[in-house]
Amino acid sequence: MKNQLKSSGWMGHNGALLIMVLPGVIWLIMFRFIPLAGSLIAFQDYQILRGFWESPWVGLKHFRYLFQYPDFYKIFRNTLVLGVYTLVFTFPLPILIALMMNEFRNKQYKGFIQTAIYIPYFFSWVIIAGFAEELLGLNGMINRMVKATGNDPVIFLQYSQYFRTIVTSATIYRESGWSAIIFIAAMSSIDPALYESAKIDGANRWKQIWHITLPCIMETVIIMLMLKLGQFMTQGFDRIYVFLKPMTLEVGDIFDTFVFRVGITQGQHSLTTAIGLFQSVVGLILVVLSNKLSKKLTGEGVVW
Amino acid sequence: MKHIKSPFSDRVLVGIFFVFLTTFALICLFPIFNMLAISFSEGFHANKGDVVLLPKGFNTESWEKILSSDRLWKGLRNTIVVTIGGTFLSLLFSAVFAYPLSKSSFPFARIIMFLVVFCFIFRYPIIPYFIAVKDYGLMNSLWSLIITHLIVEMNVIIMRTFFRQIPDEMEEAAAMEGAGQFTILFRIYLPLSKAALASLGLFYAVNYWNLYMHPMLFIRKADLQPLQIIIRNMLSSAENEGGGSAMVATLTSPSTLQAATIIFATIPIIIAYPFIQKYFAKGAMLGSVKG
Repeated sequence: MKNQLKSSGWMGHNGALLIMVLPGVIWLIMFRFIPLAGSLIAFQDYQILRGFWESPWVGLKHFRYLFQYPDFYKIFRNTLVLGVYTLVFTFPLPILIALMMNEFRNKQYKGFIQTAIYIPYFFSWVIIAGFAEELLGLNGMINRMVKATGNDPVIFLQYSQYFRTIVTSATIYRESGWSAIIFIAAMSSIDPALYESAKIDGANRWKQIWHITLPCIMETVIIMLMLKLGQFMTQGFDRIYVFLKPMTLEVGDIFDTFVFRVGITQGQHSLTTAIGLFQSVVGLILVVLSNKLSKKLTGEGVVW
Repeated sequence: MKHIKSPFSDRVLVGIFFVFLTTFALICLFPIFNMLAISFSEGFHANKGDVVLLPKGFNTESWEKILSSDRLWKGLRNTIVVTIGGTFLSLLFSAVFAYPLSKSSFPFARIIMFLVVFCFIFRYPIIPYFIAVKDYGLMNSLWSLIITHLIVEMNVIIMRTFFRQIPDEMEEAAAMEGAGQFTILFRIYLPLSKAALASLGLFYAVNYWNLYMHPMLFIRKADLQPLQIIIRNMLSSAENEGGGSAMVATLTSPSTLQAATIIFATIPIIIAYPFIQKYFAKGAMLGSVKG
């Protein structure tokens, strides 16, 4: 009797759970796995009017073309260089901000700093680009300074030599404060007794930062670094696209923007899908590697 | 007890930190206030670039022009519809999806979880995704923006982790009373997860509010464009109109119009900001939780 009740409960239990999970599974199939299967058009000469079933299969044609295609190396290089810029210049600042905030006890001051530095994260890249246009435009603040030093004003956003600096600076502006939160949280869980005993030993603030705070957050730092490494192939479409101009394509065109321009606007579906697949596979390898590395260094993986 | 004065070197260090943090905070705020000043300035002064933080030749002409723009209001309406409707539906959808995945007794939990993590790390190529969504007939519909974001893998992973921390006894007790799984989720799990739901809701909402690539892909009808697209277009058209009249002493100029447009788009965020701020720390922490 008891057993019977239990087993019917089990059935009902799993039946309800199955019903709950079903919409999500259907969603995954529709918006993730069908597009993934649709990536097979990379091996076709896909024509929109003939559709997937009628378009001719061409094997590795697009991949072979890709690796001989100078633009491919250009966007590969641009993605890598922008990735390195972003990693090197935007990663350390949030840690520094958190370390500095940790030295203040005044709630009001901390509250003001936090309010101010988190807010840019909530502005879209369209807005951030608007800020940049105003600041760097012909009549903007920066050019006023340039003119004050007796030089001719420059439309910075139209020159490729400034592109990477502008995008990196804008990323620092938008994301440094927000990225600091995770390190601030990591610091809040440090045992205050550590600082007390350091003080008794006569360690000054600098030594406390160097020998207590920094080692205590090192694990978080490594995990965040690995997370960023794993995302190396996806530099963020919006972030680049809003700054991109015909004059800066040479250095600013990355995988995401190239696929959008050539795939959607020019209709070269198969070629850009091949590029997308390449990007996804490299991205997958990077995530797996960074996860492994993170597990080795901290005992904890980034994703699983 | 004698108060020990902190050594000189400590005060110098904290002083440097103070200067650095304050400067960075002011830099973060500067563009907002500067734009506000420009939007209320005379076009002539804005063009000369001599407006810094305080309006010069104060007038509201740019704002009147901007606020009478039908496009902007329509864009705002579309964005609000997508953000509110989308955030609600995404939370509901993700919670119902994540709940069974948090049950180790559910035989399919492992395999489905594996699929979610796989989708999280293997990015679908954008072109076949575009073709699929188009084939579903979602083009030129605000639904194309919402349905495609009902699930964000990361958020499902976070929510599942959160549900797993809720002790099983809660569920068993409710099951004894004859409560079904839906009742358990909505009456026990969701009320217990309010803080997590608020933070995830914040992530979903910000994501919806700032959508840019998706409307470029799926929305071609002018009437349905969300705010970000409208702003982008207005910014570039103001730029182009500017050339000829740049030196004429008019009340408005491309700069003042752009500034007003940008401030218009940031106002809703600034209004909502104090209310959502308390969920930040929690939310950022959640982001680091893994499955």
